[in-house]
Amino acid sequence: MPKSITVDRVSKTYGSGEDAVHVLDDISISIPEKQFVCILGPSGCGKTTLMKMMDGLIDLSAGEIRIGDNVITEPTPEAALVFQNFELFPWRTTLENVELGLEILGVDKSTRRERARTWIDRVGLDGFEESYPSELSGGMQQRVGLARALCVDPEVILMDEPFGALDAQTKDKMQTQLLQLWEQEKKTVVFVTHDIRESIFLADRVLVMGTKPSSIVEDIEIPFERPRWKRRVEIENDERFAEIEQLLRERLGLKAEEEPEVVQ
Amino acid sequence: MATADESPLRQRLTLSMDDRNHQLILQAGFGVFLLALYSAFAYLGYPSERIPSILMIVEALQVQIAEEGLLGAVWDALYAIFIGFFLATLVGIPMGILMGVSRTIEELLDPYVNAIYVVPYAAIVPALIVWFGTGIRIRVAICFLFAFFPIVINSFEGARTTPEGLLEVAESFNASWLFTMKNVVLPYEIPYILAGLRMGIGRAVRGLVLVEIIVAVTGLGGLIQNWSAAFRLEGVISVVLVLMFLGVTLPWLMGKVYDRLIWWDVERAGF
Repeated sequence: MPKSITVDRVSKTYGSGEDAVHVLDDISISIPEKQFVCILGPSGCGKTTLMKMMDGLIDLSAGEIRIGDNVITEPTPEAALVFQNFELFPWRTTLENVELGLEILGVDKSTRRERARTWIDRVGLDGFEESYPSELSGGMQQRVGLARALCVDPEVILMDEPFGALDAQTKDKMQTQLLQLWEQEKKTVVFVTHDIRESIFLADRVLVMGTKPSSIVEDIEIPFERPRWKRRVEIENDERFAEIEQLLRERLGLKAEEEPEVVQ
Repeated sequence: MATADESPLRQRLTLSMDDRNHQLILQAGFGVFLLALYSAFAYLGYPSERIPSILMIVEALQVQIAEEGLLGAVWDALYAIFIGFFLATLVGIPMGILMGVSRTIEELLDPYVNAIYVVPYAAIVPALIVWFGTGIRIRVAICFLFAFFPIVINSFEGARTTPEGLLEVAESFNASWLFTMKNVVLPYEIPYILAGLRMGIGRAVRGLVLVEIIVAVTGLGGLIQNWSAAFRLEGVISVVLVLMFLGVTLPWLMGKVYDRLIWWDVERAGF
C-alpha cells in the first residue's frame, strides 16, 4: 500500500556556532498517499538534502519525517531512491543491478531474478538483461535505476532530478514512460527537479523551495486530469499550463519580462 | 565489447595482432644487434677477463647449473619472492581497504606507513641479518617489505575513492557493512588491487636482488660473490642475467593475470 509522507517542522543545520549553515528551516509538508509531488527549486536550495532526509540517508537537526506512521531514522525498504547520476554498479549487469535491493533484503535468488526480469520488461529494457551499464545509453541507464528502485516494491518513490543528466528528447521519453508506469500503478512519488515544465507535466502538486535558509514558498495543485502520458501536446498547449509556468517562474525569482542585458 | 565508441587515441594505443608481431620482430632484431655489438667488442683486442665473450658467459651458466647449484638458488629466490609477495598481499590488501574506508584507521596508520616507506632498506639489512639470519628468511622479509607498499597504497587508494553515490545506493537499501564491503568497495577496488600486485611483484624482485647482493653468503648473491672474488666476470654477468630474467618475467606474468581477471575497469565505467 502506498503511504503518505509527513515532513513535520524539519530543520537542518551543518556545523555549529558561528560557522553554522542553515540549509533547511522549519519545513512542513504533508503528502497524501498516491500523490505525485514535484519539488521545484534553484540549485543549492536544499531540495536534495530534504529528499535524502526522507530516505533516511541524512539526519535531521530538528523535526520529524514520517512515512505512513513510521518515523524515519534510517533507510527503510518502504522508500526507494532514484539518483540523478544513475549510480549503477559498473561491474554488474542490468539484471544484477536491478535485483540489488532484493539481494540486500535477503530474497532468494530465483525469486529476485524473476522480479527483476519483470521490472526490466516493464521499463522497456527487454533484451538488455546481460548488458553492462557502460554498454547502455543514458536513458537506458536511468531505466535501470528506475527498475532497481521499483523492484523492491516500495510504498514511496523518491526521485532526485532523475532526468537532469539526459538530453531533451530522451528526457521527454522518460517523462512519458514514468507517467505511464505511475498511472498504471499509483505510488506516492516525490520528484525533485529544477525544470518547471517537467514539474507541471508530471505532478499533481508542485512545491517551490526558496533559498537561504530554504522554506516552501509556493504550493499549487496542477489541474490537468489523468492519464496524461499520451496527452503531452494538449497539456502543454493548454492556457493554464502557461499561467502556471509563469507563476512558478516568478516564484523562483525568474522574471520573463526582464530585458536581457545587452553587451555593447 | 563496446568497440564502436573507441576514440582514435585508444585505437592507436591498442596494438593490433599485426602490429604486435611486427613489434616482436623489431625487438628481437635489436637484441641480436646488441649481442653482435657486444661480441665485436669482446673479440676486438680487449683481454677476455675484462669483457668476457658470450660463449664464456654461457659456459659459466652451464658450470653453475651442473656444479654449483644455480637452479637450486633460483628456486630459493623464487620461493622467497612468492612467500614475501604472498604475505604482503595478505597483510596489505585488508590493511589498505580498512584505511580507505575508515578515517580513524587511516589517521592512525598513515604516518607509520609513510615512515616505514622511506626507510633505506640497504641500511637496515645488518639489523635484519641479526633477526632473520642469512638464509631464506631474510630474503622473504625483504621481499615482503618491498612488495608491501605498492599493494597497501593501491588498495587504500581504491577503497578511498569508492564513489560516494554507489555507497549511497547500498545505504539507501539499508545494506549491512559487510554487504557494502563485499559488493561495493571490493569490486570497485579490484583494478586498483591488481595494479598494486603488479607493481608489488616487480618490487619484490628488486628486493630480492638487493638482498642477494648485500647478504652475498648463500644463494644467487653467494654465487656472485664467489665469481667476483675470483675476478671471473663471465660468472658475475651470468648470475646478473638470471636476476634480470626474473625481474622481467614475473611482472610480465602478473600483467597476464591482470588482463585475464579484469572484466571492467575504472576508465570504461566513466568514473
